[in-house]
Amino acid sequence: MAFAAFSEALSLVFSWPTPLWVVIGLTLGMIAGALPGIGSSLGMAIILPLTLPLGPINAIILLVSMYSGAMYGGSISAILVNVPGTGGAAATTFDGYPMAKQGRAIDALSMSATASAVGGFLSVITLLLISPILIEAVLLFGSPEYFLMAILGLSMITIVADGSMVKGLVAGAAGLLITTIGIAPNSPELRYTYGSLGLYDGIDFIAALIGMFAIAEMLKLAGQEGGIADGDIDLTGSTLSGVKETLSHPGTIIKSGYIGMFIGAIPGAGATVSNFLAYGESMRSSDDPGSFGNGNPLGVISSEASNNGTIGGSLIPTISFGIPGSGSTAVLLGGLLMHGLRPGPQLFETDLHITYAFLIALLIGNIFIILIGVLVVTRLAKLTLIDTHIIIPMILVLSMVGGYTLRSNWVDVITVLLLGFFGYIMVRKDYSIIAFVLGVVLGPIAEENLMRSLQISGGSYDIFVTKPLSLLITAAIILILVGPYVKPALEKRLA
Amino acid sequence: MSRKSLYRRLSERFDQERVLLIVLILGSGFALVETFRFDISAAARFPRLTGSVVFVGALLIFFSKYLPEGLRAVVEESAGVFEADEDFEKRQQKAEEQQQAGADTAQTDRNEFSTVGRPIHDSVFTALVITGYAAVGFAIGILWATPLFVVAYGYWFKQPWHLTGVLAVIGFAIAFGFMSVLGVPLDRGEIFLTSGVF
Repeated sequence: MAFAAFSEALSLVFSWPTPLWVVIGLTLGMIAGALPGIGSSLGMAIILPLTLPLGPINAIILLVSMYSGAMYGGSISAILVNVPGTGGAAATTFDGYPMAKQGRAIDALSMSATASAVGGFLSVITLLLISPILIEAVLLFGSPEYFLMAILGLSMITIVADGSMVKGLVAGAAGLLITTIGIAPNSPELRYTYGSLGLYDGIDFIAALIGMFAIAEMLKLAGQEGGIADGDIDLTGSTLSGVKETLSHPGTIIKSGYIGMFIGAIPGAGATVSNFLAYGESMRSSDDPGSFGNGNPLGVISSEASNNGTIGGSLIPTISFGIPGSGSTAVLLGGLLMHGLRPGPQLFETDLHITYAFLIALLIGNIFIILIGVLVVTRLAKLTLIDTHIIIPMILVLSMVGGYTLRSNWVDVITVLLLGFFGYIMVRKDYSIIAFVLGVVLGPIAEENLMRSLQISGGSYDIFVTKPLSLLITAAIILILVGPYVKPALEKRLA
Repeated sequence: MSRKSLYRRLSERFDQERVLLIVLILGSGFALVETFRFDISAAARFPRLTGSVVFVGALLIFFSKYLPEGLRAVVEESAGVFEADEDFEKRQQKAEEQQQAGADTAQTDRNEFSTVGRPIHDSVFTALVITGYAAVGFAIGILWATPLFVVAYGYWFKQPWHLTGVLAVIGFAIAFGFMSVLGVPLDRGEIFLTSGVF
């Protein structure tokens, strides 16, 4: 079955116009990534409504290509103006910017493109290779396990995210709570609708994503001053030497790519964490750690290989259990659901060809990253000079128009606005936006599986601890939630 | 009392987190109470579960100052799974600050509220102008409200007129593109132009 699906996926990806969507997605992603304050999640969120007329395959390929492109794009402003376009490129600034100051901006950008492409390629090819095992694992999961996995994902995010765990839990539960508006799953009960037809179908999660990512971010950006760059960096250096230098460090690329993949598979961690860990590991294992921070190419290579490596890892929980590893994969999950694709067994059985198609598209995308990155990077660099007051009104227009487009329903516009304001305060006060968004995306899946599980068990909650697998997940949830508080007390007692 | 000092007083007293927590406590409390009015008890289970977590959690954060030391630590402290070493944290913090603030540090034409010398915070204005955009869009259609919004935004942030004009045209083109490609009635308002123009 897997081979037939793989062959079908290959023919789908190489049939026109799918390759064009790969290139468009990568280019849009690079643009979004290169603009500090925009990044992959926001860029993907505002593009989501536009994917409505596309078929599910092209839409998902466009979105994953954007995700991949944005990871590389984030390094452009990190290297040229010392401002990372995305959190995943933060560690790139440490050595990328000093390299640019030393007249090696083109070298650094080429290194970033090559390391991103190779790191991303490695992680996706590994994902393809382990997919048969993943398929077997996913098929072991039933309704109780899917409900528990949703709770596990939320719990993981609350401990990984910045700020207090209680704040993370409240954010996640608030996200779940707002999905209860509308008709209840598996029952005709109307909840919190008060006669408003627009609320019968509930809160649209895409509107929530647009509000939380786009509006909240633009409100934050509006309070910051105009230009991002002062344009004092000359684009000098050599593309070829950048590519050569990167390929002369295969060990660093492989190690950093897999660090990215491993961290990406942990819900909530993502590229923001992996690029620092990969950079740290590269520094630790170097013969000359003192040169890091002063333009050591290994700093750029490790950070960039890891952030693109994160993509393959973050897709594991996203497509297997519907638990996104990051904001971008939350939007990707939204795209999957919007196009009628449910994460879990469906993506590994009837829709396996689609899963393979977007993984293959990601592989091809990594080749395009080198081509686009190396050939047009000097033009993309001009993006860093754009004034934020040009970007903000355009993003807000796209958000409002996109929100209304979802269902031609004013409830969605109000959702975009209110959750945008809500998200703005959450960001400022250290509440995890990712936990909230995950709650909104997972809510219907979690409730449906909870209700189905309880129907199977006749209302008994024992169903969540009777099977070894569900017991294991329940134990993991308890460990995650209680562990951080019990561990110090235990250590103290043992000492 | 001048409008400016009234605004200053209001903005100093306005604690965003408190407002957020009050909304969460009231919202989840209301959601919990409402579940007892549902006809089908199974449909109440999930909102009750999630509503309880939000209600209790938000209450704990709201009253964290008054909690016993041990419980307060649980409520306020980070679990910190990915805690890096000190040197790394400094670098990470620096990178985050750069990402937030941008590299431009021009000080011209700004005051304590606004980067362009206006009497209210830029974020507050942006929130108000997009609310106005939605309201005008509701009345006359988003297509027609879009250039008005862009012009209002450009005027407030003192953008050159020619640039604002170009952005207004691009904004209109974006909305028109959505309308044409996706067939969404963006040219129709709910109060005026109810049957649309195109």
